[in-house]
Amino acid sequence: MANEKRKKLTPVQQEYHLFEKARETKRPVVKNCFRAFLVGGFICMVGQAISYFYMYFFDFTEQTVGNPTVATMVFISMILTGFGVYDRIAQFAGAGSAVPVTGFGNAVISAAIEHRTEGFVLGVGSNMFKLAGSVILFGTFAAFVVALVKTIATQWGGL
Amino acid sequence: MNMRKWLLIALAIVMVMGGCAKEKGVKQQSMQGTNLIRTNTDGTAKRASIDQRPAERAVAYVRSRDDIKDAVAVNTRKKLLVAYQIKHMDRFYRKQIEKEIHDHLKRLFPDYQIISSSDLKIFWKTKELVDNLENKKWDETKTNKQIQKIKRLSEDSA
Repeated sequence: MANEKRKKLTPVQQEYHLFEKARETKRPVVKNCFRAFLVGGFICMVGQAISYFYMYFFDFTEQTVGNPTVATMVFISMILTGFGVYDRIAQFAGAGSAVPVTGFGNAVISAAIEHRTEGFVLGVGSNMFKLAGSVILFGTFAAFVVALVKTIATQWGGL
Repeated sequence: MNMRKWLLIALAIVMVMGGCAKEKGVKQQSMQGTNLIRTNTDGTAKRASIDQRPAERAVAYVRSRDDIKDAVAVNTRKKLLVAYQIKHMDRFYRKQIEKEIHDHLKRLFPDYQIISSSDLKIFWKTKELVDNLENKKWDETKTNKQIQKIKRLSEDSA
């Protein structure tokens, strides 16, 4: 908790805070990072293999191979989520499985599965992008900001 | 838990070993006879029916650069196709390197239409073309057609 916030607490609350801090289980940060690195790297390796596959057997260049590769990776992670495999991977890897684009497929399908009981329209339909919606929104917004900065830099900055 | 730990350690070792291994250049020496299909490492078709000296010069120039891993080239009477691979860490300067090489080749061969690319797919395709020139004795029209195809591929954008 931030220091300024802690000063506003009553003495009892502060005491509880210290009590809780001494007893909470420590997060194994280094171990989590290592696992995320390994599994995230493995997912990227699979992606690289898929993009080489598309380049070798179809007429895709390094410039154009990104789209089919991303689509395939998302599709695979969606299938794995449906079979319940991706959840286990995510439990082990944490951010390593959430940060790559496969995490997006997982976010969409897991929300769909979760709200299946509420019906197809109001359940699945309206909740499917509950998690992935923020990815789309902030992805688009970030792209817009970056494009704006680039435009300003190239138009007036003379870069 | 113990099993998992071992798996992790094994995975780590494999990755380190795999990452630090140095690839050996694919070099095969044909023992004898011209009937054997030669896999050449020169980057140009030496025994093609079309004169490949411009391509040889282009490959020599591109390979002499520090930031290039490998290069292949093919030329017909009017066109010169050069494909190369940029070294991994130098890929940050990819656009700049591409421009430098293209401009330099233009100055070296003012009479040719230059097609140059650092794309891996173009590299593979050009290598295939070199092999075809060498072993299947492709003629000018066929080569030109293939170069046109590769050019169109290289102009594709995402």
